[in-house]
Amino acid sequence: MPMKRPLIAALALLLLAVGGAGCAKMSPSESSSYPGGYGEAAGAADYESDAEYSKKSYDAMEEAPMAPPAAEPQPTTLSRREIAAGPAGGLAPGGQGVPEKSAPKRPATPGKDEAAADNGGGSEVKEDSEPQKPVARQIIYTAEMALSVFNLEDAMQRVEQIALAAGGYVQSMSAGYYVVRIPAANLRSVMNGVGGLGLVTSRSLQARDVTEEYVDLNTRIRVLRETQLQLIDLLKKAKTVEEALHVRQALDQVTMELEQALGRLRMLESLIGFSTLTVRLEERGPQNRIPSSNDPFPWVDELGVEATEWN
Amino acid sequence: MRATIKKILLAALLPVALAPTAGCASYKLEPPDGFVQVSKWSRELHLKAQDNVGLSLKVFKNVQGGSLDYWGADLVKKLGLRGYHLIAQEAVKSKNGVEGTRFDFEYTAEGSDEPKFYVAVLFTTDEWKFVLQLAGNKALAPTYKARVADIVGDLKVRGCKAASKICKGPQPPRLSTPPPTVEAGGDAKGPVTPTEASPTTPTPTPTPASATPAG
Repeated sequence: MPMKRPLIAALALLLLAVGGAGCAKMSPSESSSYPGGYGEAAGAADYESDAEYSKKSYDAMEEAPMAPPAAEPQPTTLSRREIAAGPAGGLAPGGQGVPEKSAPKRPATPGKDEAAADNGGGSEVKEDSEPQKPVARQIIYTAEMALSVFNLEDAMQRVEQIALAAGGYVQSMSAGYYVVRIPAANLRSVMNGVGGLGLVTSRSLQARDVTEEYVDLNTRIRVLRETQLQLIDLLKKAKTVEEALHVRQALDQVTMELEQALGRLRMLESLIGFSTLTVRLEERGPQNRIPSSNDPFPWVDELGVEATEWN
Repeated sequence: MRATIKKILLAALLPVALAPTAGCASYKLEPPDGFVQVSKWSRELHLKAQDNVGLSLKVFKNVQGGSLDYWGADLVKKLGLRGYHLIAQEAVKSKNGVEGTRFDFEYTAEGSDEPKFYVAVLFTTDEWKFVLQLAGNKALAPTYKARVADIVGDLKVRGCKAASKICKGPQPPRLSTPPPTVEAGGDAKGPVTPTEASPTTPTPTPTPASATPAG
C-alpha cells in the first residue's frame, strides 16, 4: 500500500503536465468541449481570447477617431513613425499622399523614448543597426564661489573684467552678486582669477553629464529633418489641393517639433559650451568675522588689517 | 534689631565681595589721543582714528602650555601664510609688567594695490592671550608706529597666576615670514583641491540650420 501512493502522485503530476501542455495549444472551441479539465483548459482559452480582445479593442480605439468615411477621407495627422517610413511605410505610392490609416498616436515623450520610437520605423532601422560612433562626453559645469574681499566695488569690477577677458559675459549682477557665463575651457582659470580677489570662503563645482540627452536630441533632429524632406517631396507631388493640405498639415507639425528640438539643442549647447559661475562677494571689515580654517586654534583668522582698519 | 543690622551689613558687603570678579575685566585700555572707541566688549575693543587707522584689542582664551613663544610663532606663521610680511620684532612690557612681543608687518590685501602697515602686540597670561592691533595705510605708518610703545605702556592685561611662568615666559626666537607673493587662486586655505573635476573643452557640434519647408 505505501508504495502505491507515490506512484499515483507521480502519475497525477504527469497527467497534469501533459494536459496543461495540450490545453495551451487547443483552440477555444476544442477546449470548451473538453469534458474533464475545465479549469486548466478554460483558463488558457480565456487568456487567449482576452489577449485577442485587448488587441482588437486597441486597434478599434486607434481606428475609431480616424475612421474615414468611404468616399471622403478625413484629414489625418501623420505620426513621425509613419512619416519616417516614407512612401513604403504607410503613404500611398504614386503621389496619393494620404495614408489609408493613421498610425496610433503616441504621447510626445522627450528624449530617449522619442528617439527610440523614431528609430524603430522604416529606413531608420538600417541606420541603427550600423555600429555607433563613440560620442564625446557632454558636460554642463556649474560653479559657485564666495569671497571675502577688501573693497567690494573694486572686486566687482575685477570680476567683470576677468569674465570678459576669458571670453565670457555677465548674465546678471547685483550688489556683491554676479552670475557670469564662461567658456567651459576657461572656467578653471577664471575661478583662479576670481579667487585672487580676496579670501575664498567657499568654492564648489558641479558637473552634469548630458551626453545621453544630447545624443537623443541629435538623433531626433536627424529623423525629423529626413521626415521633413520626405514631406516636402510629397508636397511637390500632390495633385489636388486636398492632398496638398493634408501633407502640409503633417509638414507643419514636423516643422514645429523640429524647431522645438533645435531650440532645446541650442540651449543645451549653450549650457555645455558656457559654464555658469556664480560669485558672491562680501566686503571684509572689523564688523565681519574673518573666515576660519580647520586649525584647532583659528584665532589668527580673526586678526589682521581687515579686522582692524576702517574703510 | 540684630537681624536688621545683619541685613544692612550683608547688603553693604556683598557688592564689595563681588567687585573683584564682576568688575574686573581681562584688560584695561583707555582710548589713546586721536582715537575714539567704536565698540567695547569683554573680549574685544575697537577704536578708530580720524584717518581710518584702526586700533583694536582681541582677547582669546589661553590653553595649558600656551606660552608667548608658542603663540608668537603661531601668529607669525599664519599671518605669513596670508601674505603678511614681518619686518620687525621686539620685546615689550604692559603697564602691569606682563611680557609681550611686538610684531611689525607689511601687507597688501589680495585684489588691492594699497600697501598697509600692521602692528600686532602679543601678550599671554595663564588665562588669556591678548593681541593689540594697529593697522592703516602704509603712508601713515611712521606717525602711528611711533605711538605703539606709549599705547602698550597704557595697557593692563590680567589673568596671571601667582608665580606664573607664562606671564614671564621666554620671548619667541627671531621669526620670519616668506616674502610676499600673490598666490594663484588667492585661497588662504591653499590651492584648489585635486578632487574637483576639471572642466574639459566640450566637443563643438555645429547646430543644424533651421529648415523651413518650401511650399
